[in-house]
Amino acid sequence: MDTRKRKKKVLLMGKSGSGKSSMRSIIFSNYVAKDVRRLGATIDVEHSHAKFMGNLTLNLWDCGGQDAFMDSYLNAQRENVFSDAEVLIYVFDIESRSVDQDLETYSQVIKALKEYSPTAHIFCLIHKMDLVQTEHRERIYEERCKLIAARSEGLSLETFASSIWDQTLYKAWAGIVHKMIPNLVVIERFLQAFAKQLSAEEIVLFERSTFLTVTNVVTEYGEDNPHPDRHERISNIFKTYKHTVARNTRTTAASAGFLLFKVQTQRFNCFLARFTENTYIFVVVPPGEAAFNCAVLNTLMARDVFAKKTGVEG
Amino acid sequence: MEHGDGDADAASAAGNSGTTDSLEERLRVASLNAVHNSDIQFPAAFEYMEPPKTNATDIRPYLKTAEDEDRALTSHSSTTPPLSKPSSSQVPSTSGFFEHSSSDAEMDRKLRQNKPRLLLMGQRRSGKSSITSVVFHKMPPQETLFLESTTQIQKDSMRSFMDFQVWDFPGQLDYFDPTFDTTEIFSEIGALVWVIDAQDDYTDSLNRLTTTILNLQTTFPHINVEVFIHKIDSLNEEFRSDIYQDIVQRVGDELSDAGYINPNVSYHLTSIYDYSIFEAFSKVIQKLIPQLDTLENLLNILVNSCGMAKAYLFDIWSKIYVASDTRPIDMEVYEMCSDYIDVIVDITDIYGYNRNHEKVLGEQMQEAESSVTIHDGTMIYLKEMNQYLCLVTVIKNDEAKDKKGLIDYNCHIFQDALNAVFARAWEKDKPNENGEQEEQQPDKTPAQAQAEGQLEG
Repeated sequence: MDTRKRKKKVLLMGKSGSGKSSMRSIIFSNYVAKDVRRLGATIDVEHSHAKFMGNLTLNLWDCGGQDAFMDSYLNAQRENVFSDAEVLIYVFDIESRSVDQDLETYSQVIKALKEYSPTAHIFCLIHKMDLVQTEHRERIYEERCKLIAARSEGLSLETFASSIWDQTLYKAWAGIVHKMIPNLVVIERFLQAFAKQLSAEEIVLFERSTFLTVTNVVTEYGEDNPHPDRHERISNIFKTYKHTVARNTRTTAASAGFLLFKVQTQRFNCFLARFTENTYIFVVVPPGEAAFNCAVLNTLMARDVFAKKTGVEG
Repeated sequence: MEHGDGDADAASAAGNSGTTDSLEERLRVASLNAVHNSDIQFPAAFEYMEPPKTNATDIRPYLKTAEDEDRALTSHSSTTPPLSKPSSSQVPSTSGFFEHSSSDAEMDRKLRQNKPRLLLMGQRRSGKSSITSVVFHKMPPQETLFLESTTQIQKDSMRSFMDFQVWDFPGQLDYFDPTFDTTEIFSEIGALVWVIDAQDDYTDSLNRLTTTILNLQTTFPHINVEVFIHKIDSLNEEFRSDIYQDIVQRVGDELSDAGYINPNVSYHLTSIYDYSIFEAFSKVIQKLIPQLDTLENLLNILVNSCGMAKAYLFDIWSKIYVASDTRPIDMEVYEMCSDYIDVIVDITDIYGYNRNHEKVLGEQMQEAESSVTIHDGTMIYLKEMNQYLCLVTVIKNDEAKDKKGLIDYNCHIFQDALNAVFARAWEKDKPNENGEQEEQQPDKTPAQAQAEGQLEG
């Protein structure tokens, strides 16, 4: 694989103040939700790189959303901005008062994208959902999705409801990242076989610094879990605890981490361990102390094979 | 109260009404314990837990259940209008990680008969309701802004390793108004928590505090007065200590002017935005636990034999710690331990559902157990002790971390001792308990010897 291909260009767009930079800071720069108030407005385009799983690097283009900038992206910088994009993430503010105008801008962006990168994946995040009353969320979200789909030029897109204050943010981003991982099939096949070996209920692979779910496999033992949002919740739990640890060991959140985390209860056992350089593996197995300890050791031993088989070096 | 075994409680209450267990009596016993603890090994200290003698003249029978309390209150309400009917407080029924077997129920019942009361008082808008909401109702601190001001006495029952009640008093009430039955309010309380808003002018509050202390001193001298110097989050370090000094000085002066020397008053700097409020409440609750010395002693032994840096015994639900070993408390370690409980509670919430399959891969201990090793090699180890309590320890010693089996074993011994301590305090009529106790003692000694031997080697 040549390096240019590995770097995936991700466009992050949306109206000014819709929360693009806030999201990016929380996911990729270890901000906590309440700290994003300090962020200023993004001027023009801010580039950043996020290394993911060793052989996937995201090249994030955080595009400031003020009208003047938007204008320049769509005209003067059109080719520069929209060519070679792999992913467009468009953020809508649910509280926005000028929905029609937002949709108009969106539709222009889509046209530009269609012109220069017709194969790009499109994700729309309906953001700041926490500001909507819980009982209306579903309905308002559905309505907004329909409006957006109508303006998407027939391109396929995925929509997510998100908020930086709960795990929906992780759900949205995990969905986005999941789409971009190379050789995902190989990884999943490996995990499937491994889960069978361990009689595990479930295996989840998390990215190390962002704690986003890379992928997961569920076996017959784990398929009756009543919590469909469990991966996002686990991401959230560990990331929160990572912040506590960082605060109390006087390190930065980026360098804090876990070597091994184990829980044994009457109903289930689970552990989280460093897997490759950039991933954590989270394994849930049925109770049984000896089997659990074996599972931990086997996982640590499976690291090398995993790297070799899947080509995820580091 | 809203728990199912209310009837059983009431029945047992009726049965036990002869043995009155007043706070005074328990404190006396506790101080006896403390004396004996200093030179005798801990289980022996409990030989002194005699059934308390009743002193019929000045001791009121303990109200055993919430129903009794309600009845007592309603019977009073005609003469004392401000004592409203208690607000129904919803306390989650399962506070541990999972529901427990019926063998726990017996011990549970015994623990339940004892219900110290915490009174929260202070000027209006000093933050009393916010404190109860954050500590006992898990409300996020920023949401307390929307709390309405309290107009009636809010009563919360905490169902935990030991039941206690928290009464939140409206700031504008004058308790020593003759229409109030001060005996009713103050007779059974374990601690009076006086909340002072440190960001405001606190002269009035201090005056009322000293009046209250002086009023109480004559009739209820055993009450612990805990002063929370509250809302310190926005004050800088220097200003905090100034205010602290000032308040301690002024209260001390007032009281000594009135001839009350060595008052039973402690001061805490608190804020709902960090751990200080939990820390302060832990201190308050600890004073009400008669077995505290024994627990600390046990924890010290555990910590020394396992090479731990610090050990806390937490109440799982409220995250108040019941006891810790006697090494100095390190706020950083405390935060990591306290937050770790959240992690485990959340994870067990996600994966602790009832499975359709009965797949089991082997034998395993009953109690939940967890550990995490963080990037700098520090290990945090958590073990469920019973339905309400869990042990959280920090292990930094590299050699100790490898001795997982030993730590497990020692924690298990500690658990037995702990349950014996809590069970024995109430269970006095079972003669065979003695035998069990003695069996545990030899168990413990080899474990320690082994631990010490291995840790040295």
